[in-house]
Amino acid sequence: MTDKKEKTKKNSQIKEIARRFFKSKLATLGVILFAIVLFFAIFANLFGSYEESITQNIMEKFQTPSAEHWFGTDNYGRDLFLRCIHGARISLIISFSASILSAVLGTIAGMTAAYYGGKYESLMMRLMDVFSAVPTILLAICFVAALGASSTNLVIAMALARTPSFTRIARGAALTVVGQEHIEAARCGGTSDLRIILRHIFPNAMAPVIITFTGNISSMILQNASMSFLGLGVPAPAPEWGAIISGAKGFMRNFPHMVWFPGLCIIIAALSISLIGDGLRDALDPRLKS
Amino acid sequence: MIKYVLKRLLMMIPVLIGVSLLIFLLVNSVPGDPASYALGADATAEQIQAFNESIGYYDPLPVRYFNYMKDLLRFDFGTSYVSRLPVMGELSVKVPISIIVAFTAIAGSLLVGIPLGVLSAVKQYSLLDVIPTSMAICLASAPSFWLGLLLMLEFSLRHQWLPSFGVEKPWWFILPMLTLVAIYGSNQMRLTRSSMLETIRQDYISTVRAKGATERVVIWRHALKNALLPVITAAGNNFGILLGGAIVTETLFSLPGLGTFIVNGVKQKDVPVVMGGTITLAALFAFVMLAVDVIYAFADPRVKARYKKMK
Repeated sequence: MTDKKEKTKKNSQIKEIARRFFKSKLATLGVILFAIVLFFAIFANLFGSYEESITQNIMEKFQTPSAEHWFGTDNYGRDLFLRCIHGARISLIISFSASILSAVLGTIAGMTAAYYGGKYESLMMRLMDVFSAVPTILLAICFVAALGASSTNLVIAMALARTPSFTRIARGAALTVVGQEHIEAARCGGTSDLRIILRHIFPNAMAPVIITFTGNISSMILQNASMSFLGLGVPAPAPEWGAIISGAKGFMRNFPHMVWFPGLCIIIAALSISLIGDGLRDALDPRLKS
Repeated sequence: MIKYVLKRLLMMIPVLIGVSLLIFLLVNSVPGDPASYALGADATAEQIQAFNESIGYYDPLPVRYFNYMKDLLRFDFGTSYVSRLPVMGELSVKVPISIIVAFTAIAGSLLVGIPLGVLSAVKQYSLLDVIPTSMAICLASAPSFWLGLLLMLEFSLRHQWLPSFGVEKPWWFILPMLTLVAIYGSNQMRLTRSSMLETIRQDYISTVRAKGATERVVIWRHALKNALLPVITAAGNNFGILLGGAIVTETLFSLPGLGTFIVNGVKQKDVPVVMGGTITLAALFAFVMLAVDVIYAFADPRVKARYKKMK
């Protein structure tokens, strides 16, 4: 009985958030744009295989956009549309996994810091101070250099470099809950620390983490592209957007399409997610409810 | 206030030691030994061994760290493995460039961002709001290297008005500056807008209006002053990020700044370069953030009162 009641309450809450979310035109636009990006990323193989996107075909090099090659071809005759949509796959996978990893690490660190307090908390927060004393992209580059260049290490490096911001936000959000009576009551009732953190603190501190998480994905897309542009990202010949632009910059004077299209892909992907993030922030934050 | 500043300065020491330890471990985990990067491919095995011995590479890691830190206490940053130049001398060239770049970029982005942000907040939902805001959202999602490349394409390849790289003349900085101002200006503009929107709905603004102040005085004197605080913090933060994080723009336009210096050091396992660079950067960053907090206290009596209470 109570279970059912709780469930309907939860459903209506999600519905209410969704209603507020889709009331915003920009957020809806973000969802549509993201759906398009996601469609091409998932069904990239319908347009041509990954091998096709990295195989050179000198006969067809430097073609401008046409019916056959929607985005034209590059200096090795590879179809740029194919490279861009396979690039969407790489970019989304890397930025999502890096964002998830840093959110998980940061939330664990932040919530345990807020819950246990004392020496553990100050040690944790000083550690985060150290991490954030260096700009994220520089820290990520140091991590990649130390771990070796590969997609997995890139994800780890970008995630570690971004963990401090999550830790601070999760700790801040958890601190508002930790002192409340229901936590004390749960502790008195003999509930384990893990259960208190997961069932009582996490749900109450989730909103700011979700907002930061979404905002972070678009920064990760940009950072991932920047690192590939510098030659420190996904190893060649993978069609990463930043790497495509980096390879095209020598030819951009005569063939600007080689730079325009991958750049627009980055903008659309990053823009769609940051619009969704802004919409979520407004929908989840009751203070801004109008 | 002075007590607070001193406390903050003292707190910087453990953070800097932490940074030095973290970076030391990271750069020493870069595969390969320093000599093979410094001497190139045609060095003999004896030369490599002699070089590695001369820099103490065969000592255990903790010993190397303590030796480095002992020198650092005397402000001796060591000598670059690759260029054989003292790191201190190199830093005295790179740091000013980075400071100039970061400072002009932030000043420019505030000059563009604050007025546009105020305008769009005051005229919310009008065309004066929708156009700048949507442009800012798009620019915030654009990668800096792409914007820089497009500017280069237009101004140095098509028209040859400005060179695409180098720092010999002041106007050679224009293209990288435009790139950075586009990105950070849109960031500052969005912040100003949302902070302004929050402020103009406060009761004290209604009070000022009720007193019969003109709209100009209400917006520019009363609302903006209050709305500016988060904008100042973000500007300080962005300044810190730009000091070492403008690597992409620096690389694109061949600006020999701090970020590029460190990244090249990382690639070549040049331990003194990376260590000296990052420690300087972290210290500069901490000073900037401290300065922001002090400015904050001067700008906002509420914050000043809080510091008074703390002691």
